[in-house]
Amino acid sequence: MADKLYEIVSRVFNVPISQIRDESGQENIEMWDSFNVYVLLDEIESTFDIRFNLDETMEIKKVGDLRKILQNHGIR
Amino acid sequence: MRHEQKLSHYINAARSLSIEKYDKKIRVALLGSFTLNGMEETLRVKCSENNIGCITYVAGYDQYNQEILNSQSSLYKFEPDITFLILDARSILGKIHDSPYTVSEAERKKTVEAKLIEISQLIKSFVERSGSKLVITNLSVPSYSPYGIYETKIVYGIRDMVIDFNAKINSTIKTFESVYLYDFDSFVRKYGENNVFDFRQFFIGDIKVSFDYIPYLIHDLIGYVKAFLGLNKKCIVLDLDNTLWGGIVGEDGFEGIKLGDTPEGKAFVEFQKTLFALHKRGIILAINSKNNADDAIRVIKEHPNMVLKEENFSSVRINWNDKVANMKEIAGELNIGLDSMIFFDDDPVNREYMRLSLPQVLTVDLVDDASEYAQDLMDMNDFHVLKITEEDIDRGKMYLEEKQRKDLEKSATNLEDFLKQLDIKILFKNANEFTIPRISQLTLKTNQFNLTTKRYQEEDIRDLAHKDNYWIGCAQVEDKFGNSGITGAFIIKKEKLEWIIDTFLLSCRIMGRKIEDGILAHILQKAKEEGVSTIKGTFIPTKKNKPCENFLLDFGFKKDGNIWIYTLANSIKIPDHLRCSVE
Repeated sequence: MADKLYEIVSRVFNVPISQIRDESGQENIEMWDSFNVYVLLDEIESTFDIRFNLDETMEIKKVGDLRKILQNHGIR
Repeated sequence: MRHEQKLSHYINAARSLSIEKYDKKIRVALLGSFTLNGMEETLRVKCSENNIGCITYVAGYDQYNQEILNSQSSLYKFEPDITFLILDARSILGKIHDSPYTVSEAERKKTVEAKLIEISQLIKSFVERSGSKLVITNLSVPSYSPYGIYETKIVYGIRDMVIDFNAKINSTIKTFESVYLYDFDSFVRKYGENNVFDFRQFFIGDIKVSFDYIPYLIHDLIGYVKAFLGLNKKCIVLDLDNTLWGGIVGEDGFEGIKLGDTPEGKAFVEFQKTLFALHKRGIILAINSKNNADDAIRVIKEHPNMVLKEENFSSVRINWNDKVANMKEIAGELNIGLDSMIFFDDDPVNREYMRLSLPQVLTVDLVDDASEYAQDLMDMNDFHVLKITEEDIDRGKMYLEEKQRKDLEKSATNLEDFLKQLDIKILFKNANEFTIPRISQLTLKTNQFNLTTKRYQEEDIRDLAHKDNYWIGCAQVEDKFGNSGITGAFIIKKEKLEWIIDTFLLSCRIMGRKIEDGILAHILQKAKEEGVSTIKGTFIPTKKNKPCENFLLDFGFKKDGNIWIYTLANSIKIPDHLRCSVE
């Protein structure tokens, strides 16, 4: 799952996959802004066929948060 | 159904776009009553996919009022060609949208009226201050009412309010030449309110067109861009077997093909109906098929379920020749550019071959399912024009007349004999309310016989026509086979001692009949009457206007640097075969 997640983050934010960590977020990804993060979310939802609720959506500050939410949805 | 890419694809692709490589460019401003993020990127990417360089300006969030009302705003400084104003019912109606029945019917009416005045004022201000086309959306009629099933019993309920607003705003825009209404309500109905509007995205960022549907919306808006740039397609070229009917006539036989009656057969009938409707508004149809001509023609002539008849096809190539060669022949016969043609063929190999050989032709990617053909055709944004003129509607008939002319040409002993037999009449008209739309359209669309290829929108022509030092005219051409409509136009800049030919063009429909000599003679005669003795013209070469390269030389103009000069001395002779009159 992490590989797939990193791949999506890399594609949506246009950064090499090698630079992506769980800590990656607004500070170190240039395109990470309040709008693009929802575009990212939208991609993740259709890839994993899940839907984040509004609370989950608002919690996302870095890649690790996304991984946690995916785990909570039973995705390994 | 056509599937769009995810929004992230567009946002990413937009980062690496460069517009320099495109000849066609457009400046687009986006204004909205909600978040427009993502739309701008999608617009630029989709333009580039159509070889259009798009330069955009996006107004700040919900800043459309200020931008339009302040004549010094960045919007006007940007000088857009097209401005999209995207509105939504929630923002426009405010509180009343959410709880319409806390106020009386009279109050609801008053609210709608006040909003209409406000928007009409905005439109007026915009038109006064900008030469840009304005495309304003209507509002999506909400599906929900707190009154539930009783909603439709209420007088002037929430849905009536929006429907009334939409009808009135549509009437308003009809009074402005340069303003168009985008039917956003139809868009929402087509894709579904629950898809287009996503509550979560609305809460997060006031996003009122959800990410997945932004590309679909922009696809529609690109229709205006293509129309503005005159990139509309004029001709649909069709394969036959498994495209116009199911099965292979050479193998399945006349009775064996699927056309009507059965579910598969109905799909092809539906596709033909859609083609027929487009044909009736002026899209030319042609056939390019590898087939035994006799078998195929028999189906077209005799099959009871053929919607399209032989006379609906302006050019027909049913043979075993190369399809690319056929395509070029069709373009030649119809005298239209390959870039204004669309190719429909069920065979992916044929499509790939066409795409590689003639990339100018738009080869449609059909799915392997005829039940989607009609929908695919209806979803295309390539047929839009900013104005449908009488000439457009009659186009199919005109190409049929053209066929008759070609037959006459073959039977005539020589060109002069042919031209005489045609009995050509030219009626000259000046630019006026009736002719301006067509003159503008000709400047936007004419590529071959066009000395300077200057493009003029309707407003431009109107502005020039009001100036004393400009003379704008056009020529309506008729012969024994029919009326070709207004097919020639010119713009003359008058200076004290000389006249300058700013624009001189001839529609490809009437080329090769020396009509241009008659139009130019008309201009020279008028010059003489007004005591002007020098006419200057230029030829600005483009990839396409070779047909008029030697026109000025052949007429007797002398070259001086880049300028062609004609000195009026003797009387001007109108070619014998033309009968000219002035309206």
